[in-house]
Amino acid sequence: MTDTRKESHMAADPDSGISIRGISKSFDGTRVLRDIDLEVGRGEFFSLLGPSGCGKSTLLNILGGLETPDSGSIRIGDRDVTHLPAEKRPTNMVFQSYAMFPHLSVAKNVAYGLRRKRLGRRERDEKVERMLSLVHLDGLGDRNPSELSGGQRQRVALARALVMEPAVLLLDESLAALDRRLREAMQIELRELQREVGITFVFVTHDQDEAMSMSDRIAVMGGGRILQIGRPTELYHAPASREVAEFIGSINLIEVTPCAGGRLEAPGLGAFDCDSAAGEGGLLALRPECFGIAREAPAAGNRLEGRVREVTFLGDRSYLRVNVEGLEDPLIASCSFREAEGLSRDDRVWLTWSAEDGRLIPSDR
Amino acid sequence: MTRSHARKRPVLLTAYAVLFLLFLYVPILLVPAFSFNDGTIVAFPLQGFTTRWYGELSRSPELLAALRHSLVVGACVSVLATGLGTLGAWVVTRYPLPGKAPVTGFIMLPIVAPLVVLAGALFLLVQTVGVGLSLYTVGLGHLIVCLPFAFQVMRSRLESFDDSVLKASRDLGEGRVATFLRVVLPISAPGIISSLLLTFTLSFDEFVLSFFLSSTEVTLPVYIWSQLRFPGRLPVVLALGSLILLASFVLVVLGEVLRRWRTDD
Repeated sequence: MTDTRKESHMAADPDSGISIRGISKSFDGTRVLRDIDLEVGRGEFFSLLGPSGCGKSTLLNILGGLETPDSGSIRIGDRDVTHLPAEKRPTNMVFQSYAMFPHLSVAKNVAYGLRRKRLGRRERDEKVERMLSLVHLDGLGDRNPSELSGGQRQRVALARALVMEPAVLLLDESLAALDRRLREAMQIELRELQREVGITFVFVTHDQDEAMSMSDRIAVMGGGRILQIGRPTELYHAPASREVAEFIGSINLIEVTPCAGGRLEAPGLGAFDCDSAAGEGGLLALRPECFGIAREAPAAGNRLEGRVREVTFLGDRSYLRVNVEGLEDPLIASCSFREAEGLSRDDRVWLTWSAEDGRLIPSDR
Repeated sequence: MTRSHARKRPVLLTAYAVLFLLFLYVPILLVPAFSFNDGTIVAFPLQGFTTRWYGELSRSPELLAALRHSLVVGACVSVLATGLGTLGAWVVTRYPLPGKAPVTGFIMLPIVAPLVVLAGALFLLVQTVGVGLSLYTVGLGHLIVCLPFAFQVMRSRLESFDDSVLKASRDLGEGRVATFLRVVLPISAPGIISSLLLTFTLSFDEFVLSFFLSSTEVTLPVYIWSQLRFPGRLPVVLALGSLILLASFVLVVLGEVLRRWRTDD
């Protein structure tokens, strides 16, 4: 496998990073992408995450040359590829539907793009063989794609793109069609494969778990814009907006205003300490796992009193929904089974959290 | 109970099946039977075995000319109809067009219009324009009738294939022409072959249009019709008919073998 790595590095530009500047795109008067700026580092596993219709697939297609942007420019390495058609770009795509050529065998599917590379027959066959073994499909080269399972077709699509030794591999919702267990296995495998070949991966998904578990960095998209770019931990712990906070994981949001001593006050609920507060109001964002559960009123620190509305046992964790007077929605707290043991509906509890766990985000109203 | 049940049903079913097959094939099998009959009157009882009608075939230049005309017209019409039908089907299945539904409905019109009316109209048109009747006018008539079939066959074939393979081909470095040759053509090949066979057959045994639109160079059905006045010529026509049957049979078997061989691959 070290061979593959060496080759792909030789084939790639000296710097295969991607630089996207001011990309906009409209379809029939609807703005799908608005002034997108993005930098992706060489060898990075980068995800475009967002709900359907947020423009992420269009951006991927523009990267691959399958759509033309209305304005803006794209560079891959030191080359401006904005006006290069798909067939001339150093990118290859793994399509959502896999897009197998139904009339060709697995091996011929993988070899499809190599015709242009003017290789000898033996060299070409060896490459195909090596790729198939890289994606664990040894010996299936003579099969027809229709005889393969979804997961296997997915691997053929991967091999077919990787054999081209692209500078950038584009993956469009590539795992969406697989069932959950296979998807989880493929996530790990894809990540390992990416490290092995050292190619820049741009991965489009609407599944936040998928993006979180695989990516070096993620761009969260919504309404044709990039809402936030960051490492998975940054996005989770320090969301920049309500949209990002709500899209990634579950979160509790409490409206607050600044008050004396740099503290934050929620009307009728009390004042809280928050390390990220800077004299402004907004939304206090608390992840479910930030909370501690107390059955007696704690002496000090941030706390909210409420009544248990529901306890959900999920094996490794329990989820508590707590009604707090003055808040419209119940707060969600996750805790260990032991912490929730014995709690039932209408029991009085105090939810506590430390000043560093809460995060103040701007209110969008 | 079950035994009598199992015995009774097949008897009825078998009888039905046998009658059905007789009804279908006896008229057809009469053609080769009488082509080997040693007598000019086409009636039972058979008079004895002969191959002389087959020998006489090669000495009937007019009949052979008619056959040649039919083959040439059929070949040209099937290729033209399939080519044009494929292009039309491509546009209809790949691009959003205003008024697509009425336009595609309009394409099918020649199929539902009575052939005699169409033939009469074309005859008048050709007379008015003044180009004169020929095999070209016959071909034109056949083309009008064959085009909707070719279009329909190709549309269902092209509709069933996924646009993403075209994108994949371009993504893997092939331009439009190479994508067409390496992806579109092989995927639509079965449709193209069925369209060619269907339109060729339609043209080959079309009578009404050929009758109206031909002059001295006639196609085979028109020639056969003109020969019915001479009962002595009928066995030769039957001999030719048997050969055509045999050729169709070989073609169908060959096509089926090819199809299986491809899917096994």
